[in-house]
Amino acid sequence: MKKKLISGMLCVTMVLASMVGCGKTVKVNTEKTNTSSGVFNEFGWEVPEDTLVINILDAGGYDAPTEAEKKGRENVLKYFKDKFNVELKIQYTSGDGTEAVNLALASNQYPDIVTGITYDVMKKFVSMGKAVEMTPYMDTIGKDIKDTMGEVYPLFLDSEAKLWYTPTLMGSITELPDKAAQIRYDEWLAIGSPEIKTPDDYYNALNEILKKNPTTPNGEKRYALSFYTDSGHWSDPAAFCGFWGLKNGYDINEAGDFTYWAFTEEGKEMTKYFNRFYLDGTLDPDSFVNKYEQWKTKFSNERIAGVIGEWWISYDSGHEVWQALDPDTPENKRYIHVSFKDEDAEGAYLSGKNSLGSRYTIITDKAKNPEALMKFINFQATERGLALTAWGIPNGTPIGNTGREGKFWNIDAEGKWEVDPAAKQALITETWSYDDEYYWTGAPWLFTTQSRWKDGVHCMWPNQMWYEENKWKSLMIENMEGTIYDSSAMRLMEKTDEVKIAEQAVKDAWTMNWGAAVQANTEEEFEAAWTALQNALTTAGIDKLEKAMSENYKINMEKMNK
Amino acid sequence: MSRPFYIKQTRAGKFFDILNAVFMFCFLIVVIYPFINVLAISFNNGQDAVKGGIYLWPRKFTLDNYEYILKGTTLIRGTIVSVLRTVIGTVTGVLCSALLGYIVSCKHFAGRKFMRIIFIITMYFGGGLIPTYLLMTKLGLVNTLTVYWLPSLFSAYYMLLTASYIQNIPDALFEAARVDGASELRIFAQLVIPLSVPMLACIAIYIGVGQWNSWFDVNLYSKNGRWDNLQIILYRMLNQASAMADMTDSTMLSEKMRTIQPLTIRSAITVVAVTPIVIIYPFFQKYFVSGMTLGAVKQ
Amino acid sequence: MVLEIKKKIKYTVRRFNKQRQLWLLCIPIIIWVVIFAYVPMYGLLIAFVDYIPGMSIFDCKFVGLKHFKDFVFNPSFLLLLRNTLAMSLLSLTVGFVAPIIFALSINELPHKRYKKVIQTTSYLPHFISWVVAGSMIYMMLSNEGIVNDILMRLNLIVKPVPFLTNGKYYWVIYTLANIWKGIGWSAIIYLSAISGVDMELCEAGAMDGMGRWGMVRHVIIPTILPTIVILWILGIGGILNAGFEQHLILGNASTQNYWDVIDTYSYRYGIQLGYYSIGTAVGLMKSLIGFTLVFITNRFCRKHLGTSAF
Repeated sequence: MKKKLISGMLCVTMVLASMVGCGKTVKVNTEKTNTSSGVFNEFGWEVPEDTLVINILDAGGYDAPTEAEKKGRENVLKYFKDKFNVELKIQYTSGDGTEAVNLALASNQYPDIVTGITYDVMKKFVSMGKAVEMTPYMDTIGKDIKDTMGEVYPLFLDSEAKLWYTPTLMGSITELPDKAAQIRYDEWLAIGSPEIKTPDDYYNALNEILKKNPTTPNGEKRYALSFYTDSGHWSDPAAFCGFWGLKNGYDINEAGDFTYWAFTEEGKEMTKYFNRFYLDGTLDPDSFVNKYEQWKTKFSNERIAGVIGEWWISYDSGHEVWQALDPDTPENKRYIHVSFKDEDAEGAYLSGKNSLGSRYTIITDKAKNPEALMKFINFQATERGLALTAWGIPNGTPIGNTGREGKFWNIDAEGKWEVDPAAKQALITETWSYDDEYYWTGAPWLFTTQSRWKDGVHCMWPNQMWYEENKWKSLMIENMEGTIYDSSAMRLMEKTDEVKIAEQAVKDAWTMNWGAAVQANTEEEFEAAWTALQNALTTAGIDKLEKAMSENYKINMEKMNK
Repeated sequence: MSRPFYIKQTRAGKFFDILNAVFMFCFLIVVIYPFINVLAISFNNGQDAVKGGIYLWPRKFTLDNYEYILKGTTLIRGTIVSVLRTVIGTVTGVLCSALLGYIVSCKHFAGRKFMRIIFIITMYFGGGLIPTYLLMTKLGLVNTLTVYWLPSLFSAYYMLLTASYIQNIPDALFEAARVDGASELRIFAQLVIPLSVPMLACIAIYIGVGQWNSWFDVNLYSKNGRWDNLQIILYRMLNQASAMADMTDSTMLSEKMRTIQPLTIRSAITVVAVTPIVIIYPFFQKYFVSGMTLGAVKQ
Repeated sequence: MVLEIKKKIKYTVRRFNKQRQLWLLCIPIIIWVVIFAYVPMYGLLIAFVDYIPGMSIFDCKFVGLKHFKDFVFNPSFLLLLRNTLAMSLLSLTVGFVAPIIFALSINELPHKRYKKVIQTTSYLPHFISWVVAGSMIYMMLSNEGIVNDILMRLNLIVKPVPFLTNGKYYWVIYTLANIWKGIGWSAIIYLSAISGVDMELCEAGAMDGMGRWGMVRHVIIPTILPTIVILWILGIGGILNAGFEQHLILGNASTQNYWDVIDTYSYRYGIQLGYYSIGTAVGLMKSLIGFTLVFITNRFCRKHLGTSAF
């Protein structure tokens, strides 16, 4: 009796399972929207006769919990409907969009455009034949996109010279550094503003500062440096090697072969450098325990004299906190950026600029009218389109309730535009309010570039313009000149399974072993830890990674020189 | 002292009592302090909280954090959805688990081992996220309220707990009712439920809190946002901060990092999520703190 | 002969009629469990193919036991297994007994109000997320934390004790943190079971001259023993689960050799990289082992303790 019941159930299960496992077949609708009308609005967009409806799944955007962001999106959608006759229907994801997109794929329920997806997910769509090829449009309706991509255009093509995607955010601001060593301005002035050109100079400067002020106003002990280890904001030894002339943590020889920092003399010197701080007792003993939040607490309490990392970290945890809490904070109590390099190093390669972006947009096979969609994406590549996307709705349309009128830029009926003078002033004097921005922005980023525009002045980020007129920003740029390099060709996008696993294993290997070398108490300990690090990396498969990087680099360099 | 009269009081007993009381007091501190700390931080200014050093009360009092998370009309709907799903989910879940527990503890029921086993198998073997999602889609349960309680109606875990409790109820009681012509459902409703109140109260708490706190299924199945609950709204606010962790572009990261202070927001969110539970819990607690119940057979 | 068969049939039919109602009640329940639990089980097949989301499982390349082999013969496997077992065994022993003792102790408190206060607050840590708990633990145990501070002031140590950077402390810290977070919450079920103790038995015991300890040993514990046994058997089924979120918070690079467990590893090398198959394979392995252990333990308990889960 029992047996029969169980076998009966199994049969039912099998039947049901096979039904569920079959996918639905999708009928492709062949009706097209009439997109030409000959009527252009002030943005240069040809307003279609019938409303163009675009369904978008945005895997890179976040849901909008703030009132400002919500209002912003509403306004943008309305604006597009009114001025462009385009209806955007956007579905957002929270947290990790990849999971949501995978589910959409599995249930065959994805819309016309999927944006904000990673390279892997994009490749999946392409390999399953679910993405629309964009190459045929690049010389016609998509030519603004090709123009904007400029010399890195070939790097976006696959091995058959086909284009399948656009980056949601490409380009780079070539003068703006990403990473820098930072030191406090008033303290640096107090020790006589010494020149900082080599790692030793920085070491000495920090020690001088500590000698002068060994404790904070509250009596707590101060340290020269500290680290933090959270996903996303690593204190990254690969980055530190930049001061010794390595790029992205690799030594690249003329032939284009990559050697990982842990197998180079420079990497060893870099580790010894930090070991010096440790032996002096000026390295925070919790350096390898801190999460970013704990590091931030220590830093805001003035317990850490120097920091090597992203340029805005000392802003976010430093003077922005101090000024917010005490409006009378002296102007010089803030951090400035310095760069130094080892004598043998070619340059201090701190900021590798990758122009290729990391999230992408595709047009899927569900799109009924791929040309119209291509047109829309192309619109975002034009100057006015980018301005609208990044700066938001123009002409001071009163939207926010902050008392400001939401004016960042103005455009007239002929299409001439300029940034509003009051906004420009606020940017220069650093009184620009970030919250205000959200009230009139919210368009999905299907294709944007953060490189500076052809006029050499404007760019999509409001606060990255006109720094010559901002004292601190120009100081930063001056000091960090020469530390920026183009790393687009180094970017490894096509990864085999082997390489992906090796990457993760390598990361595990250095996170678990580098700290021991930095915190070695004697020469022997250091050597032992260094060897352990190298052994761990070898077991993890670092040679696979090096090989993949080298080959990729050589191919990319060829592509660009063609 | 409410100790039953028949317990003798010895010296060893008194010593134990003192030790116990002291230990409980220390435990109380260890348990309450973190919560007071969270409360204090939630009322503190974000930038200031970053500097640390806040223990029992806020240093720079502000209601900004609560304003940030409680603003907006979707929160009201979210709270309604939360309450709805908690109430429906708890009532159905408790009743169904109890029913199942009763069925598998009827000594004369030949199928009880079979039923137990098919449920216990489900505790360990599952298809995973994607097949479950596809099933819900096929059943039309996406974007509904039903998806929050129907798939979790019966649970092997609660079945075992209720069964173990019901087994302690003397079978003679049920037999008597059966002889009197009562149907099984009637026995369940009028005998089993009243006699299992402590266990049911306990399960109600577990299921209720589970329903109240869940956000993962909302994230998965509430695509158009109509059936968002309180937790997912709070979770999204919190996760803006960690979503940024994947950003590789430095400039974009700096734009976003400035306006969010996760520490105080997170504390405020914890307080908002926990407070309703703290308020409701005592109502359930009285069902099993009152001490030993009278023997059922006497009735 | 025919008469005997007829009698048997009649007997079965009568028995069935007696239980008819129960069987009828079971039918919707069985339908429910088939739809919601058994139908999605075809997903287990993901472990045997190279699954790519978007493609139907049956279209993916069949690889048999490859994922299982890859995982078990991986050089890190023994380390992961060691960590997993160490921590889960600690949870199944110390971590399991703690809420029981706690519940019994609460029950012994004389003052009703004190009892109520303890009960109403002891579960609060359950609601504090691990992120918050983690920063508190950091505050206490970091090299500049409170504990080290006190120890140094009392001159008991010269250099701070590296609680959070030396792996050998990790398992203890993890277990204590789990207990702190879960003891009040887990005690709820024991308290509810204790409240089902038959008063008459207590009175009878008292008349036999039993003291308080005797009462606990001979009346209370036997009453709640079925609950204890069930929870313990089910716990054994989870022997290969040893936390996940806790490690990401409490652990760091220096202690990774002690906190990396099966789940954290399979997340990093599986889901995070988009390889669903590995995650499913590992999950299936854990399920099989857990399920088998549950059966064995259940039989053992039934034989030697008289009660069991099923």
